[in-house]
Amino acid sequence: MKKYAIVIIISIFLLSCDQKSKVKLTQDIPLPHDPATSNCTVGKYGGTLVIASAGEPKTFNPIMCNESSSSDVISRMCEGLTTINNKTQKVTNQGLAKSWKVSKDGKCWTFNLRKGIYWSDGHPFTADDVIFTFKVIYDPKIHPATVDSLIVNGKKFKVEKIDNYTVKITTPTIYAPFLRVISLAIIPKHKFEKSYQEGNFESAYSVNTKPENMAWIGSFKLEKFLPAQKTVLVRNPYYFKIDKKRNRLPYLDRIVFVAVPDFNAVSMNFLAGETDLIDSIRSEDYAPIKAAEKKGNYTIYKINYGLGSSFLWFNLRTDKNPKTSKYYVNPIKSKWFTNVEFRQALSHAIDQKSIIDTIFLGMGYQRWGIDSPAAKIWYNPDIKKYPFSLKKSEQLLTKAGFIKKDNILYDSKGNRVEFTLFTNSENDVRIKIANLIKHDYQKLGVTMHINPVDFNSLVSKINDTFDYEACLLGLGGGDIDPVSHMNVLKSSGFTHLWWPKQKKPATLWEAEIDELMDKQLTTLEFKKRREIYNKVQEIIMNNCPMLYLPGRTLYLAAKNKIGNIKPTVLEHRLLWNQEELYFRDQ
Amino acid sequence: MHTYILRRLLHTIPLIIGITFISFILITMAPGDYLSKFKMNPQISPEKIEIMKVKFGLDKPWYIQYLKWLWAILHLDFGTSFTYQISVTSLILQRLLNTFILSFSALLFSWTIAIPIGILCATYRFSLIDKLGSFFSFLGQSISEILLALAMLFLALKTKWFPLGGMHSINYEYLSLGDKILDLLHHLILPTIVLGVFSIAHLTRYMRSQMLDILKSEYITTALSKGLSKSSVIIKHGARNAINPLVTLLGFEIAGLLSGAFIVENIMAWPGLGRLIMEALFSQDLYLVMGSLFMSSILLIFGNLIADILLSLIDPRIRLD
Repeated sequence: MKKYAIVIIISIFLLSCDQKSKVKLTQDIPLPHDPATSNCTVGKYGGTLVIASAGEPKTFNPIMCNESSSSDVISRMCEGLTTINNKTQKVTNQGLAKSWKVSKDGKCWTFNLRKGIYWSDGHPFTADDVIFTFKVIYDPKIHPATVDSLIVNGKKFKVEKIDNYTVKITTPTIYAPFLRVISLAIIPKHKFEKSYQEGNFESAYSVNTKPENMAWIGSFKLEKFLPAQKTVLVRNPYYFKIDKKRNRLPYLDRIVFVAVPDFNAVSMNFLAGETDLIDSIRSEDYAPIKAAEKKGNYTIYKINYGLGSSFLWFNLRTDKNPKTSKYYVNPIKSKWFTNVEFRQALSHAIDQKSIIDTIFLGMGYQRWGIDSPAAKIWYNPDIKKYPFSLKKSEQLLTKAGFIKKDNILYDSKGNRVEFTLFTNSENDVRIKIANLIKHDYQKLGVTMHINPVDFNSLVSKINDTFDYEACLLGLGGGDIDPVSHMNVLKSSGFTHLWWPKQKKPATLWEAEIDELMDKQLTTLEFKKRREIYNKVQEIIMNNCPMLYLPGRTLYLAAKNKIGNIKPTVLEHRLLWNQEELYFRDQ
Repeated sequence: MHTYILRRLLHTIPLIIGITFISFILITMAPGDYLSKFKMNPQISPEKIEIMKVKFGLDKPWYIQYLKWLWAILHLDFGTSFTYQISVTSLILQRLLNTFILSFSALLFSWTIAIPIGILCATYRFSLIDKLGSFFSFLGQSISEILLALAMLFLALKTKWFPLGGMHSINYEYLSLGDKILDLLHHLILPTIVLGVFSIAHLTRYMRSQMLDILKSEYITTALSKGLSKSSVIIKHGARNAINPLVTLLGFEIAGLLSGAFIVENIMAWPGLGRLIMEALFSQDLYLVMGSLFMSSILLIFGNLIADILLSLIDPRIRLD
């Protein structure tokens, strides 16, 4: 018995000696022929960056992922032909293509790929990987969500290999956002080809795939994934970017994403000092995090304008449901909703400042327009705005023929003005906002009933049954290019919320927007394109189909010991320049 | 005995069909489906949604979906998760052990504490021990798990004595085996307490009242009057008899081993099944939800069966025929 005990103790001792925590800085891999150069402050190697996230990757397949908890991690390990600099919001040549040329007709793009760069498993990167990526994306059986931005007028791009390091892409017509949409992740042919041919591409690079069987081209590669615990990324020794002193990037050894159950836990972990970054501080957590800023040795950064928007809109359908031959919207009410002055009046009656002060605890900005001022290259500051003024509202309503008697508003035919607003019950901030608005509408004599329903029921109302009068919802960030608003702005779009999927534009101004949106898409010159899009923003705000609500001010924080932190409004707000981040000497 | 077990096993077939049938109806009757959340995303086109719908079989009526699922179950195929695009079985297996560790630790914790306290309270009835025991067990039964879990997290944040949730430290991989075990135990303390408190509280009450009944019975008086020492009477004759009904409870606890930790896992970031299933429920990941429901009903049924068998082994008065 004693013998066994001794053996066990010795073996435990031996096991405990086995430690391997340092990543070898493999400097012996020769630098690529065409490295990309970062002009960041030169940092020093080493260290593990820890960040908590509420949610975890559902897949590691760069083509199939369609939600942010997966793409937040995957984008750390991928590169495209072009890249978008989050700070300037412009396209740069820091990606897999070192340069490109466009033909005179603006349709034919030739990309020169970097020579001598490798995937993280040592396999060389060539034009074949690019060709393969597009083959997969355009496969109708796979149909990834990203494919829609790569199809113009129903036609695909023509992607050809000229030689191992040259790719020619031809677009069917001039396509203005081309360089932006082409920043999508390129996948390794040698890893994906087998599963693609066997018809199970969707489950390739799943959460069960061993990290050793994956190859990445970004600054980090996957080291370990423990479900509901953490995702560990480790530096890719083959990465193609160097700093000013020709040191190979990235500086950090590892980035760890800790999976926590919710946003409370994200804040708590940061407060406890267990994580190094927090990429969004909720307004209710701001006070404790601000209070410990000095003691915790971190800095809070403020981004004045968030990208996400929320708004209230009326159902503008005026037609009948072909199945029941009844109007979707009661014609009496439809008459109010389709009246521009009515919508403008109700927009003037939304007190954005009160909403910011009471619900966002002061952390918001008054917003008008489809674009946030954060989208600096696109935002048009000259659009019509609707500051809070009940007097203006009343004037507009009187002009439109409404009459107020005993504090109740009637239309010209004597119908009392009242309607029901739907919002999703999961989001108590939206319900609170609706209640504040209701209060101000009461002063106008307008009765608004609030009906919170669960998100899925709401979606079917907006998309399928159209049996609602008004609705309050929001849309997330996404990219800033106008192409990301196509489906909202064009009358045929499926998220043209107030009347989706129209066969023919219902109004003149919608027809004009349709035309302008198509035009900006084929205008390559930025200045001209911007002019056209400015006009779109103006038409939208003049006609007020969406009554805008305040936007959020964003707060994020990072420990002071991390160098090269450059917070941006585009995602990922703190890790977008991950390869440049480093730990300072303490 | 054998015929009894066989009969019980045969009973489970209609039971399982009934349970899964009702669950399936309830899930598919809920408004929307897995694809609803994509419909409001301007970046995901209706064509893409239609392709997914056909691929996931959501275009078929619910009874066809159910029959297909049932047919696959007969071949031990639990289907593919919509969210993860891999088999439900592999997802559940990933998390099974973690949940088991937590539940087992809570079970061990609560039983080793509750039974001696229950016996003590009954033996020294109306003494200070009994009063304190009663007080804490009422407190334990009335406190909600969510509140307790949050309080524990707060304690961890303020004192830094315990980790803020999770199962391992960040640097777990680089620890020696001994440190790995210590690290796990350190992470286990708070969730075990939260999960165990309610169990301790009601088991103590249960054990106490059982023990009081037994202590009043005639064979105890006989044993004491024969001159046996009080402690041996209480432990050998009293506790052994009092514990019988608790074995039935153990059956339920086995079922709860894999499904009872939803709340704790979600608040304290324990990487178990509870979190997976909660997420699956919210995103209406149909087959993942069905797979886990199927598994917990099997466990409940078998837990009961095992308890009944154990009971007949411990208590000769019970015969299973």
